[in-house]
Amino acid sequence: MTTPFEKATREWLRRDAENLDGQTRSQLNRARQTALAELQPRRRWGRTPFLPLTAAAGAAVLAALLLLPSAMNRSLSPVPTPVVTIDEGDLGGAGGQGLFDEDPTLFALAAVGETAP
Amino acid sequence: MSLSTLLMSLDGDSSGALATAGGASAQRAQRAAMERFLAEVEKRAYQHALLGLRHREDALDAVQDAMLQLCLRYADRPSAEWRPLFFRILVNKVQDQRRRRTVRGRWLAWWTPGNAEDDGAPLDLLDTTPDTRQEPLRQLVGEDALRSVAKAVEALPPRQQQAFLLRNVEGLDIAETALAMGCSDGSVKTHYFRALQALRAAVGEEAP
Repeated sequence: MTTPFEKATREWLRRDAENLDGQTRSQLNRARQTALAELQPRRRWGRTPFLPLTAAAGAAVLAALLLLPSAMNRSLSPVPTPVVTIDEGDLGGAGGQGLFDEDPTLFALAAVGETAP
Repeated sequence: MSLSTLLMSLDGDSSGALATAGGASAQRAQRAAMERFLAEVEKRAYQHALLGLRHREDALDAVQDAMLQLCLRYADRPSAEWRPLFFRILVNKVQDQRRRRTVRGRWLAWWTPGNAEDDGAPLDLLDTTPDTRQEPLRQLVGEDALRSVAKAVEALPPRQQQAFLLRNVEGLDIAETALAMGCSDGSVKTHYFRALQALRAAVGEEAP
């Protein structure tokens, strides 16, 4: 609740604030315009499509600069030829015939099995 | 579309080619709202700073800094928040300026030969003005009343003065005043109550 005293002091002080001299008013006006001018560049940067485009292009160029030398080095360096060892069992495994060539005992057992009644 | 055509369409003020027209108009509206707010508040802000600092140029600097910071940092906030934020910044500027003066006053007191015999108490420039509370005016009429109230407010301790100006003159509620002063709601009530008591005593009014 506002008392009459509070109301009176508020009116007096507000009236006092309105009674500024011209020079002070002018300086306050200039200060306000200076502050408002600061709104512009920040807004323009946030709105402009150049910022994301420039950022994307810059990132692409940076990535190319970083990746290109390593890619070139990789293509120029001699590639070691892998030594491939082939197991004889793999070669003879087709058709299942190679198993008997390797193991004479198994071959003999198979022969006995064929002659048995 | 060739690259040059694309760049031309993006150039200068026609950057709105990609930005929406609604966004640009909203921005203009926000700028207009900020200008209205600053124009409405600047005189009382100057009065606030002047009562706190008692120096015209310092008060103008404080108001300008507060305006700048509000525009730079808080323009995106809802406009309802601008008033307590602006006065929070202003109160901080005034306090910083006072502290600088106090430090400068201590150095001056130390370096000035005439102050060598002083009692060693730190020089507080805020206490150098006469206390109008000792001269109650029984009848307040016109300009005399205005002057006596202004002097009485000027003589208040800083926190009481801030609470009184923000609550009574600026019309902030308790929560907004607490935000502006950086203290609790209870502290605001205490400072405001004491300020009213001191002012009543200063202008010679009996409490209701």
